[in-house]
Amino acid sequence: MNINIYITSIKKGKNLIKFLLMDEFNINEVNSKNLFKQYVKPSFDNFKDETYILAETEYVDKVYRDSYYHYYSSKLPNYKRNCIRLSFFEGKISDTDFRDKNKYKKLQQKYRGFIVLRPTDPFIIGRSIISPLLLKNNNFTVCVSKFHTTVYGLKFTVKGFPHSSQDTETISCAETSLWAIMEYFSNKYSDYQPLLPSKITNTLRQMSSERQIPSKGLSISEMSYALKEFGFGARIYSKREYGKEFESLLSCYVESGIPIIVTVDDEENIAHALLAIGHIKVENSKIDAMWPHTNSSIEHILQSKNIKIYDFDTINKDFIFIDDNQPSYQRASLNEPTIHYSAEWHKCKITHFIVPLYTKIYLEAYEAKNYILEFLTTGPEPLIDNSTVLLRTFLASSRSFKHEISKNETMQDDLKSLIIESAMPKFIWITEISTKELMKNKMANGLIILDATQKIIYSNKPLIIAAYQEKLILFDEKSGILQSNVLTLPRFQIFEHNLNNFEI
Amino acid sequence: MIKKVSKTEAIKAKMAREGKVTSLNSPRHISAIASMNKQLETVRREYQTKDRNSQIEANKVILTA
Repeated sequence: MNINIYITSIKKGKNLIKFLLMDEFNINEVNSKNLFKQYVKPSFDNFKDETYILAETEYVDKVYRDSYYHYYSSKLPNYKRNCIRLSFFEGKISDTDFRDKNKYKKLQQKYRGFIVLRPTDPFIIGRSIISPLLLKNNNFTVCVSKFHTTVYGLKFTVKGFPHSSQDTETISCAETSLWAIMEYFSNKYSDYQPLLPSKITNTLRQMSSERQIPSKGLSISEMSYALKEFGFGARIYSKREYGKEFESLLSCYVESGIPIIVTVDDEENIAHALLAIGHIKVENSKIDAMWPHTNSSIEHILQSKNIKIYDFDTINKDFIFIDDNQPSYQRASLNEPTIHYSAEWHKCKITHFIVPLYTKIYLEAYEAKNYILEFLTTGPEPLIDNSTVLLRTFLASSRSFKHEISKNETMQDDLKSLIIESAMPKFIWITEISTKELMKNKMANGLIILDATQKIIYSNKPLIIAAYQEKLILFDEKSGILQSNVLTLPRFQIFEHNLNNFEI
Repeated sequence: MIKKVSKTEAIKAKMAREGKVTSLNSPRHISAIASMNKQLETVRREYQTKDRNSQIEANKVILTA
């Protein structure tokens, strides 16, 4: 069995895909044309015009092969075992480049990922990793992981977020979302294992009262249970319960660099799962348009002291989604998450989200953000009267945060030393205290660091260090008493390393 | 002689020498912390309710589309 290799410009991509579907998957010409138009073209339309495609046949895809052995091989129709892999390069390539060792580095620089085509007509789009660099429009910041792959015999790496369409038989939107989350985390952190469709089925076997294949989807609880079994401390948030704070909590976790499972529902026939993995870059006009925080429990204090608090998470911005019914990196607002679907989907609203937290993050976003608000308004060293501040709160690993603080030349030296030499857990909550004008320049002039392993929010137990408005607040190690020191803190660059920037 | 390069102790000692340190344990500070604790008790109760109800609701939605 030979692997056939084809190279062409994306401008001739339609002919290549039609030919491959007919030749490799035995799909007739009319259907091949329709499949290209409906499923492949939307992705190709997002790619830069200078894209080149290298297609390889007889590709063994681990996800499809798992579905094949656990399901498709038991059906009457003769499904192929192998797939087609389309690899993408930004700029012209030729077959001789792959046999010239001097061209290897250049090829790696041009490499932008792959899409697998499965023989599961009509749901042919399989596993894919596309670099945002390949997109015509990539003014966003998202979670990405580095993936190792091969093309025409050579090894390459690409940074992107995993995507696959559902085949509707072994994987629905729920299973695809779980797979993509685990594919991302397992490539990024050694704590997690990659996932195949059959593993999801096996994990949920004890919970299920009916057969699991063909897939009828999963409940939100089942998805959360699966995440727990795969090593996360999963948390579920419901729009109905969290009300107007729901979107800002979602934004806070995305800003923390955690891909989250979002569920949309039209309360009739449609209930769908997708992933929120980042957001478009925040424009200055969006910062200007922010409204001050309204929180009933501290409203009287804000009014009596004439303090205005803005929450970065309330900025009206589009988010970036991985949706198994759409091409990678779909953008949409939280109010209209399915605006790019057909009209019957337009009634869908986000009803829940599930956060795959690291198991030892015991302090979650709702309590952490409320603690910060209470600390700054009713605590022992509150904001001075007539203050106007903009708060940006997120989770970060203490390793990444200290690494960036060490390199941050704008951070005051004493505070830098105190932060780096403070014992911290693996994950910390950080609130940067800024203003609208400072934030437009990616700057802040204060910060609060909380211990994300501290579940007790009373008596300032989560507090590690705080510095704002000429004050440095931390616990005295010997007495255990909270102390306030005088510290002038010049403005410093904010932390922007949870999400990756791709615009070039 | 091993040289200690960490700076935290020296920074704190310098602040203390310059009279820049205030212990936040005066009646005013203790009252503020007590008030904060009271508000956070409400936050904790609200969170527990929202969390429980979110889990209950999550059982009812099957994601298929």
